[in-house]
Amino acid sequence: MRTFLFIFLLLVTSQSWANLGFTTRAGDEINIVVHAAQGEYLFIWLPSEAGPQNSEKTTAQQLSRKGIEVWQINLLEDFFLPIVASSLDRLPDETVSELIDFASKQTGKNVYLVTSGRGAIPFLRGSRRWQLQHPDSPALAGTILLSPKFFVETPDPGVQAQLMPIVTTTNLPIFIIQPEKSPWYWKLDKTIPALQQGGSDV
Amino acid sequence: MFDATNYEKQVATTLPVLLAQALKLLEPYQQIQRKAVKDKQENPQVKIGKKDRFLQPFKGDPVPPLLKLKNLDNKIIDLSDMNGQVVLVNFWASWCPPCVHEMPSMQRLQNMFKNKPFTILGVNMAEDKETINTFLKTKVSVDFPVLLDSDGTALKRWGVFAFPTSYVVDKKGHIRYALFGGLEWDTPDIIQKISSLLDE
Repeated sequence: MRTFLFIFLLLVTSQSWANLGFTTRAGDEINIVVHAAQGEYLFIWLPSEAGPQNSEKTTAQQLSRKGIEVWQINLLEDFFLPIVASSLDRLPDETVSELIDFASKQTGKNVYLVTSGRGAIPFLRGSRRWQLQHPDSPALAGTILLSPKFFVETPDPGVQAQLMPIVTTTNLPIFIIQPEKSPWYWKLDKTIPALQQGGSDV
Repeated sequence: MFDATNYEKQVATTLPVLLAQALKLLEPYQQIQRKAVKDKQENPQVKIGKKDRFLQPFKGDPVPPLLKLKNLDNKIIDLSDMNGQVVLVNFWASWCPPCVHEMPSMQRLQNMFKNKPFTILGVNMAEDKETINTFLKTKVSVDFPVLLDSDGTALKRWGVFAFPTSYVVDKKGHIRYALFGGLEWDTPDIIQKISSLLDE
């Protein structure tokens, strides 16, 4: 295993989080903000196309107090990509797969992927890659998607919207949190069956 | 979020609880042995950056889907009764910032064509009457009909993908132009397009 790990900062006494990093096989350095917890669950949290939000950090801190460890990652920053939706589409599946593997081996916890908006796409692709590489491992327990964006792009009016191909080729336990006051709420009757097509429980 | 409303901020405080509940509900499914699905589809290349949005010729079936809804006075409004008029059908919601932003310009457009066979129908997405009336009294005042799509049926029939979405229907009852996104409706380009349809 060529992946090597480095921990460059541990708990700072006045803070409830620590920084952790690892280098992928491709040589990319991934920075992780760890909100540690004693429980058996771990959330890997990727920001949406809006970039990292203060509210996500607050939520992560609250979750860690509930016994759920949260690893916040900002892959757009790690890959020097602009904070736009199309950047999330360009994140390598392999990196997400290696992150799942790293998180599982490092903590021994059940790993859940949590993201919102367009972050769903790299997580679903990375999950599929991880499943191909670890067919017998139960470490990836599921994914929680907040207001996910599954369509390729907003089509021209009158043209049918296309789903990203990964949506129908995903086989995961998936929980969707979808606010009613959103255009995506009205697409659930298309997106949920599409996710189920690959075997996902939604 | 920088544009979050107070209500959204308040709801956000419940997110950790929701996430913890979601985790508990997902837990039993972890036991199911899963295999990656074969994938032969190529990933589509999405252009970087936002698409230009403008009122453009409609590319779908020009025959409009059924649009027959109650307005705020409980009166049924049926688009098919409006042949002979140019109708701007606008799908909106009060929680949608670009929808709210474009509404004053729609009212100005309506005023501009007040003596012409031109009507705007503002189809509201599943909000209750009280919310809409409060919004119209306190935020943006419009005098064109607001229709109530209480269960999103019209939205689905019309293939609305984003908010706001607008369709311009000509005097023969055909959809001629459409737009996903917001716009200033009293610009020369729009006025010219509407005027041309009125002159047909």
